[in-house]
Amino acid sequence: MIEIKNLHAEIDGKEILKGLNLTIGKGEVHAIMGPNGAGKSTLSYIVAGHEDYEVTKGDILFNGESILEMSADERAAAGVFLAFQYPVEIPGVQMTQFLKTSLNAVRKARGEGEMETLDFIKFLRAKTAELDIQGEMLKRPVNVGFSGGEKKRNEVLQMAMLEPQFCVLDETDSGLDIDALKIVADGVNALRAEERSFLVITHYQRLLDYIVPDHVHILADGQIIKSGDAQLAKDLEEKGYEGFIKEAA
Amino acid sequence: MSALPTSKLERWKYSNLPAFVKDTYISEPLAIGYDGDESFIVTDEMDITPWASDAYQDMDLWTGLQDVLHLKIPDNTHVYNPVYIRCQNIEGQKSEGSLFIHVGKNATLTLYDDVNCEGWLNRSMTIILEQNAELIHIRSGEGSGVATQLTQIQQAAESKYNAYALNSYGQFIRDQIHAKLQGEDAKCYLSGSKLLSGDQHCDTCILIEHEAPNCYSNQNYRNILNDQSRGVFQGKVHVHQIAQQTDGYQLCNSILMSDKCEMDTKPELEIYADDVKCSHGATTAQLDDDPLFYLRARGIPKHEAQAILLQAFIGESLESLEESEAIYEQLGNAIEKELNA
Repeated sequence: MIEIKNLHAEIDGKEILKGLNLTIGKGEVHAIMGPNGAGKSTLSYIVAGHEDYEVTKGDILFNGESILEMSADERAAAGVFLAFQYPVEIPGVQMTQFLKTSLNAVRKARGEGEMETLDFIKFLRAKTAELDIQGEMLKRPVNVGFSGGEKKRNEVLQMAMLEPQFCVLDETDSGLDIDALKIVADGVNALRAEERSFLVITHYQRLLDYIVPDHVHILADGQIIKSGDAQLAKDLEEKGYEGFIKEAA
Repeated sequence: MSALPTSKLERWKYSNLPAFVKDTYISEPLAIGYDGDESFIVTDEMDITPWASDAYQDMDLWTGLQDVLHLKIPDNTHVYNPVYIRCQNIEGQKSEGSLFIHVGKNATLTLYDDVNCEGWLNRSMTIILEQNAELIHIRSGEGSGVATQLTQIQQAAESKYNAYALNSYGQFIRDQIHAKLQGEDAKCYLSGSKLLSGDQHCDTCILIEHEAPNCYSNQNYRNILNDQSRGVFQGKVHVHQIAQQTDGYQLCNSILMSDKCEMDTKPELEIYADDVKCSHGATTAQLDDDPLFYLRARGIPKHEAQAILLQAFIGESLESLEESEAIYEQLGNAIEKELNA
């Protein structure tokens, strides 16, 4: 599904990723854990197509094809989805209008027909019910005045709507209490499918109790220094990053 | 012809009128189209002339203009249907005139005020709002000429003036507004947007004088500039000593879409009373990258994403008209059309 090969990337001349390799197969859930500044969020932005980051070496293949030349919106249409760590507040743009525009842009790019308003409302109602999203939230401007939990549920709602093949969750657990975390994790778990892969980026093992990964990788200083199964996250919780970084060096 | 104001005058510092006008215009009285109740048009002289007592020495342009329209709304009249006026000016002509709008006690009016300038349109409009009168004044325009417009508003107690100017027209626009809040609890809302492109130049120059206690004024402007266009916003609130408990707000935010456009913003406060609430703010920036990336990461192509964000930005200027749904919607559509043009 996704192959990241010897990825080097920088922002403002500063190298953040220094030869990152990662292959995620169809239907797999991988987790990347790492200390602050390891390059976790950079990786998620680069996969999603943020223009401020420059890939200086290496490649990202999605279903065998390089996506580096594709814009963020083209990648979204192709099936790449980034759930933001800090979903952006957009005053003046109503949620429902935004969701409809987004869905129809993606459908159009995929060669599907645009969804009419009534069909869209039905579709949206079904998705929001699963995520415990109140109608009132949809009347507000995008993410404006949303609590941490509402913002993250909103990200999962968009994920559910756009039906991506590859989802990157950037620190989806940050700013969530246990109850909110459960709702979000349930939402993500409901989307796990044979045809859909996930990359879960997190600081803490806690999230991985709810979204159980097939593989866990430790990212430090722009490279993956160790890979393993779900047990690795538990070991990490005990030993801390420092131990693994020393071991790798 | 009296001397034109030049950029040597402080209030014309950013707008050099002589560079934009020709000396070959044919002078004509301003032609006016009117669509509204005919009984509002009166012919009697009004003893109002544009305020000559002016410290800025730039009133010559509008002094001694021929009267071209008197509108008088009788006391206690609620005018249900909006009144439309359209000032016409064609290429090669300098069209001049002064207009008077008088809204009587407890009367209300919605005025759509449209200009079409292809040569040079020079006009003054004097607005008198009697006690508890209310005027919604929606201004827009067409054409690629020059328009120099003075609007003077004199407000009695409890009156409300709510104006919106959509400035997307013209080669050179000078929009000079002078409001005097002369009775207690008068409210003055001035808002608008500049949507400029090519080499358009648009200068909004505002002076609001609080001359009575407990009055409220609010200036709320949003601008989007493209290409080599230039926008100017000079907004001043002058609170006289008597005008205690004044509330005065001023905000002018602009987005620059190209490297070559320019926005000059000069907010000013001059306060002689000691119990007032006044604020001013101004930002000039590029379109924010973060919301743009967020929308694009959701599959919305760059152009469409930009249009959504610009529309939302400009929408903030319509705040004072939110309760007037039909006007709000009509202006929203007009702005959307301009943004997509």
